[in-house]
Amino acid sequence: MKRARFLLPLALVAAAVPIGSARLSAQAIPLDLEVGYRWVDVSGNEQMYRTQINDRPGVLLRSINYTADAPGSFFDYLHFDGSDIGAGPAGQLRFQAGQVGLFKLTFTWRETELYSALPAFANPFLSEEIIPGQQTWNRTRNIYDATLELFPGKAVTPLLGYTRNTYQGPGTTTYTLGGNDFQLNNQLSTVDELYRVGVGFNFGTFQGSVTEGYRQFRWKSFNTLVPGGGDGNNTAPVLGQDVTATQIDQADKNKVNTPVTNVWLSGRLFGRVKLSGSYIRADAGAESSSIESDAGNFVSFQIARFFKGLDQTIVSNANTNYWRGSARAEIDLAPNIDLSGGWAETSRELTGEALITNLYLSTVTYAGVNAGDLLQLLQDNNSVNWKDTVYDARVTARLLGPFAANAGWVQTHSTVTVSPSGDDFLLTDGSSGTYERTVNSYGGGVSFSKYGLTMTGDYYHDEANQPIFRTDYITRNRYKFRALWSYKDLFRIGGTYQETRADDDIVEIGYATTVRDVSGDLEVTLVKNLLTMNATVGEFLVNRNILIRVPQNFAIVPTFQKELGHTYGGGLSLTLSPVTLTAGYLWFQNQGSIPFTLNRARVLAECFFTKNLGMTLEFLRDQYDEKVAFDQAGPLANYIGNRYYVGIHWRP
Amino acid sequence: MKRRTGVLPLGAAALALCLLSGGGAARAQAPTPTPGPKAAEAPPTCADCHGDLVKAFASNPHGRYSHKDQTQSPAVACETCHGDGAKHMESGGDAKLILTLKGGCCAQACLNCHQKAAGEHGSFATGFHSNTETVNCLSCHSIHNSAPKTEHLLAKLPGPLCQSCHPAESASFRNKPYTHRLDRGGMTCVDCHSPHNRKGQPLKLTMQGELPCLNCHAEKRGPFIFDHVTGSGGTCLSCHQPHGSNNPNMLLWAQVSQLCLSCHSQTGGPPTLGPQPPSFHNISLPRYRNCTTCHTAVHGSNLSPQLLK
Repeated sequence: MKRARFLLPLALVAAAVPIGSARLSAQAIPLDLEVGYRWVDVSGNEQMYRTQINDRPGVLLRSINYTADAPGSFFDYLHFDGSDIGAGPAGQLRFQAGQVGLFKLTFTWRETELYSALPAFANPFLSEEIIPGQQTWNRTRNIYDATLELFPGKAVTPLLGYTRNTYQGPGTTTYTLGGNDFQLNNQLSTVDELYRVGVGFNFGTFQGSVTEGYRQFRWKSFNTLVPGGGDGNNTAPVLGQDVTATQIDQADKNKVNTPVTNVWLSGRLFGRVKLSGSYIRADAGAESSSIESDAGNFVSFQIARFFKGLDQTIVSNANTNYWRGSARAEIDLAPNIDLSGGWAETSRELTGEALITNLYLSTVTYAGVNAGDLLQLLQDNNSVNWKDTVYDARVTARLLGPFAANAGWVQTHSTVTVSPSGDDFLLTDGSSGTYERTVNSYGGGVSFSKYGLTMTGDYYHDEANQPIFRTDYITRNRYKFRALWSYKDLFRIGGTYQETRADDDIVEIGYATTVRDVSGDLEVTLVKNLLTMNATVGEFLVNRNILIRVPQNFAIVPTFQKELGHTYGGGLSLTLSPVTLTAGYLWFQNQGSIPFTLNRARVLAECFFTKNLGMTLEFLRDQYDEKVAFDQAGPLANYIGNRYYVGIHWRP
Repeated sequence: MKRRTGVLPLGAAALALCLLSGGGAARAQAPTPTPGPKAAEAPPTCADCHGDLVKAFASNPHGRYSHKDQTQSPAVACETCHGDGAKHMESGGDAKLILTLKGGCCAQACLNCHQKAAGEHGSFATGFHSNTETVNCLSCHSIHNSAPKTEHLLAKLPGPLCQSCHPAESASFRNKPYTHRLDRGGMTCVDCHSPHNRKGQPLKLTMQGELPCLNCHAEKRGPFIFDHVTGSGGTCLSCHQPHGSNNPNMLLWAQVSQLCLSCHSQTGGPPTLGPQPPSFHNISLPRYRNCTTCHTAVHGSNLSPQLLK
C-alpha cells in the first residue's frame, strides 16, 4: 500500500528523464530529488504522539522538483513538485504543464493521515487511568484536483475542472441507547466530487468569469458494538435493571447533490471607477437513511418500558437554498488614494424532515407486565433561515511618502429564524423564533517604511446591538502593532503585539474574553554566507469567562478558560561548503486550564559529496509533558518522540 | 488496495503526459540553432552585461510569453519592466539611467500587465497587501531570484514568507500541540488565505462561497436536517482555532462541557439561540462530563434530533 504512493511521483521522474536535455530553467530547478528513510522512536503515550505529531517510520520521498521548458513541443513548459510522500502523515504532489497561450493543465494531489486518540476526550474512565478516550479515528484523506484552462492569458479562457476528496478509515465512537452509552467500532467512507466548467473573460476594462459546478457527496458509515463493550459506560442499574447490549449494528448512508453557479464581473468606468459584482447560488439536496438493529436489556423513559431489542429505520431529507450576491465600487480619488464601498448579502434557507420508525422488541412495563413489541413512528421537521447583509466603506492612501493609511466602516446585519416542528429538537422551545443582530465596525491602520524601519499599527472597534449566541460580543476591540528594523541582510529585529478584547456586559451572560499575542524575533548574520542565528520569544494569553447554568443543580456559576503560554526559541544556520547545518530549539510552556510544557528540537545537516549527490541527516525531537489538572490526563498523556531521517539528495 | 487502484491510473496518465512532453522536447531540440551575427557586428543588448539574467529569463514565466513571439528580441522583454535601456547602455551601465524596480512604486510596472482582478474579492491594485512602501509586489515576489521550489515567483516558501510579517500566527503553528500540519507535505498559508484579497476578506472561500475549511473537511458541509452552529449563524471558528490551539481538537476551551455550556445555558438576559437549560445531566460524574461522549454528531446530523448519531 505504501509503495503505491510512490508510483505517481516515480512515474513522473522516469518520464522526466527524456526531457532532461530540453532547455532548462536556470532559475527553476531541472531536477531535484531527495528520498530517504525515517526511524521513529516514541516513549510514553504513543497515541498522544500520533494525535499531535504522527510522523511515521518508513521510506519517505522527502522532496521532488522538476522543471523543463521545451518551446514548440506539446508542453511548452512542465513543472512538478512533491514533498513528504510515503511514510506520512501528509504528502502532496503538484503538476503543471501547458503551452503558452494555448492551454494550462494543473493537477494536484494531497494525502493526509488523520489520527486522534486523546486520553481525556470522551473518556468516562479517565479516573481509572483507562486511555485513550472512546472517540478515536485513524483515517486518510486524499484530495485530487485537475484543472484545464484553455487559452490562458487571452480574452476568453474556458476552464474545465474536477476535484475529488475522499476521507475514509476506521475509528471508534459512542452511542447512547436504552439508558447506557456504548462504544462502537466505526468504519467511515466519504467521497466528495466537484465537476466544474466555466469561462473567464478579460476584455481590458471588462473582466469576469462564469463557472457552473456540480457537487456529489456520498457518505457511508457502519458501526458495531466493540467486543467486550456490552456493559457500556453505566454499570449502575437503571430502575433496578442492568442495561447491557449484545448487539448494536448501524448502517448509515447519506448523499448530497449540489449544483453550483459562481459568477463575478468587474468593469472600469471613466478610468477612475471600478465596479464589480458577484453572484453565487448553491442549492443542495440531501437524502439519508439509517438501519439499526440492537439486542440486549434496555430501558426507555420515552415509552416508559424495558425492552430487549430495537429495530430502527430512519429516512430523512434536507434541502438548502443558498445564494450570495455582492456589488462593489472603487473610486480613484487621486493617485494612490481610493475610496471603496460595497454591499453583500448571504442567504441560506434550510428545510428538512425525518421519518423515524422504532420497533421496540419484547417490551415490559415498569410494573413488569409483558407488553410485546411496540412500533413507534416519529416525524420531525426543521427549518432554519439565515441571512447576513453587509455594507462597507473604506478609504485607502497607499503612497504618502513612506506612509500609508486606511480607515473603514463595516456594518453586518444578521437574521436567524428557527422553526422546528417537533418538541425534541436541540434547537427548540426557547430557541424557536427570529434572532437579529447588527454589528458596526470602525477602524483603520497606518504603516511607515523607510531606512530599513517598518512600523504598522491597526485598530478596530466593533459594536453590536445584541447577541444571537450567548458568546457573541457586544463590544470588541482589536489592536495590532508591529515594528521591524533590518540592516541590509545582516540584522533584523522585530516585535509584534496583538490583542483582541471582546465582551458582553449583559449581567446574566457576563461574557468577556481577552486573547493577546506578543512576540519578538531576531535574526543576525554573524558571518556573511557562513553563519546566521535567530531567536524568538513570545507570550500567548487567553482569558475567557462566561456565566453558565450547571446541569445537575441549575445553579449559575462563572466558568473560565485560561491559557498563559511562554515561548523561547533559537536556532542557527551554518553553511560551510559542502556542508550546511541548521538547528533549532523551541520551548513552550502553557499554564492555566491545560498546563503543559513542549520541548521541540530539530537538527538538519546536508552534505554534497559531489556536485550532484548529497546526503541529508535529520533529527527531530518533541517532548510533551502535561501537568495534573482538572479532567486532564496529566502524565498519562506524556510522550517523547524522536525521529531520525537519512536521505539521499540528487540534483543532476 | 483501493488506494493503489486510484494511484496507478494517475501514475500512468502522468507518465503518458510526460512522454508527450518528452517527445516534443526532442523535436524542439532537433533544429540546429541559426548562428547569430558576430558580437562585434551586433548592436549592444542587455545580455552583453546581464548574460546570466537573460539566460535564466527564458524559462521565467514572464519569459515564456516573450519567447512565444519569435520576433521579439530579449531586450524588448527586459524593457517591458525596466524601460528604455538605450541611455543606460550608452553610458556604459549607469544604474541611474535604467528603471530599477523597488518599493511601492514598482507596482505600476507589474500592474501594467497584471490588471486582472484576482477573483471576486481580490485585486492586485487594491488588495490589502497592495502597493505601499511597507508591502508591495516585490515584498513577496522576486522576478529574477525567486525561491526555486515555489510557484508564482515567490521570494521564499509560503510559510517563511508570511512569517516575516505575521510571526505570531506562524509561531502558533510551531508551538501549539494541536495544529494543522504546516509545510512538510501539509498545508500552506495560501491554502486558506488569499493574499490579494481586499481588506476584511482575507480568506480563500470555496466555490460555494463558504469558509475554506470545507475545501478539505467536506463531510462537515451538510446540509443537515438537524443543524448545529455552522448552519445556524455560527462558523467553524465559533468552536475551533485553525492556527493552532493548546486544547484538544483545536477547540477554544479545554473542557468540552464548558464550550457547550457557554451557549447552551439559559441564565436570563435576552433570548439567544440554543440557550435552553441543559437536561439533568450531572456533569460532576465522568459519564456526563464530556457532552460529546453522547452527542457525537456535533457538526450536524441527518439521523438524530439530539445529535446522538
